[in-house]
Amino acid sequence: MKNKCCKTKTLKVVNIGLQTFAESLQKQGVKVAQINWRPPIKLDKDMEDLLDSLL
Amino acid sequence: MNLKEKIAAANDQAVNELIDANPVWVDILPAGEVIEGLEPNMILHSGPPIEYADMVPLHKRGMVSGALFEGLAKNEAEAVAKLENGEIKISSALDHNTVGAGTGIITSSVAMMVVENKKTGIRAATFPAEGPFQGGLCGWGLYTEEIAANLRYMKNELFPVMRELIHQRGGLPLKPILAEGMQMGDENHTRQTAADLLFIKQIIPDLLHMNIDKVTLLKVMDYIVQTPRFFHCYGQGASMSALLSAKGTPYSTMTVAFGGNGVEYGIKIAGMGDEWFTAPAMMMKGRYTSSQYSEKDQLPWIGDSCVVECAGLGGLAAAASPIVCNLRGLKLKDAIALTREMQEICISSNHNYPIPNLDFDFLPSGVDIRKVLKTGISPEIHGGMFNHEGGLIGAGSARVPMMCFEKALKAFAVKYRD
Repeated sequence: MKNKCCKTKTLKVVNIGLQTFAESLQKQGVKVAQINWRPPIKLDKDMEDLLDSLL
Repeated sequence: MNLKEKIAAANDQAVNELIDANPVWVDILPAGEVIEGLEPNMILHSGPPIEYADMVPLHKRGMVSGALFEGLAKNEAEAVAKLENGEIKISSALDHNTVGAGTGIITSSVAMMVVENKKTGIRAATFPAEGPFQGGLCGWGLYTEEIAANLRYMKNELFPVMRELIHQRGGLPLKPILAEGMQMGDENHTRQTAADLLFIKQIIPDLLHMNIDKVTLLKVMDYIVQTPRFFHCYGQGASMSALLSAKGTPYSTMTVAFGGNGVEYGIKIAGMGDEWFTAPAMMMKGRYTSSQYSEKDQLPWIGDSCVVECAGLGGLAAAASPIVCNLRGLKLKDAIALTREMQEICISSNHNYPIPNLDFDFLPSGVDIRKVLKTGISPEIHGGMFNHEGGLIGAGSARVPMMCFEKALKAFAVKYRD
């Protein structure tokens, strides 16, 4: 697959997070490096304070 | 040292008890002789403590089955009355030095495999599979004349021979079998196919050299070879003897027990002794053995065999066994990703268990409740799905409820924070 903006180069993708994005590109023949990442979880204030004091 | 430094030091100490443990199968003894605190009129069960009245039907049936098997009651009505009025005592298996796989029905005369952690001398006892009846009384809570007769047969005919065998060879080290098995596709919870074969390779030659009649020899060999997942009880015993060695480490936030009773799921942590931290029992996701089953047939998590995850095997070792993950539609990369994810919530890695699929990286070891809460990643645990009547209807996995970790950390802070 060629990038329309850059027709002379092959598209290479680094996908961060949702793996399905990487998989759908791979199915189209695109080289994808997957980085497993998820947004930090939202803790309630008490738990956040507790963890700050213990970790 | 400040509190964070004390926790770090304590966790290093606790996780090293898991990594350096040297579990050896040393004996077969009646539960009443090896399980500390198990009284003749007491029946143990899986998961956190629970009253008879609050138990799921499967556990209630197991309690009655145990009472009848042990002769604590003449019939079901008498058993129920005694269980309700406390004449027959009820206790959680994980509050003793044992593990309640499945229903975890353990009574004083049931024969148990004894595993000793040679590093600490701490012993754990687990019940073996009941031959053709598999889960039978202890694992599935069933009682029939045939099951009772088989338990007596195991105890009186098979186990004296096996006991002599294990005494003659001076014990069987279990860690090499666990380690080798995981290089051959086991994760040692849902699958112990390789460990079974490695165990047989060690034991059968010794059995053949014993001075016993051929009929007896064949009976023992049939029991060992033909019982599915024979090694499972040893994996649990090895895990429990290591976890018990870490239990009671002051300031440690490492988990030392996982288990469910079909109503609640609970954990214990090393720095909080025998205190339970519970949440409503979760449902397992996986694959049913038949299309006739669905989630409505399934019981929420029941059983303590997940002590193997607590000790770093099973779900934490998913990468070792893509076969198990494939049973529920996952691929090799998913299995690897699961173990990599577990690394984020563990204190250390276990150099005894290099895994080919991880390019010989080591398995994670020692779940830290702080890391679970910080990352939002809960331990992956494998297991069998029970229906409400006690049959196995599938296999799959679940995550330990986050509420258990939240409660544990709050209680830990009350105990240790100035």
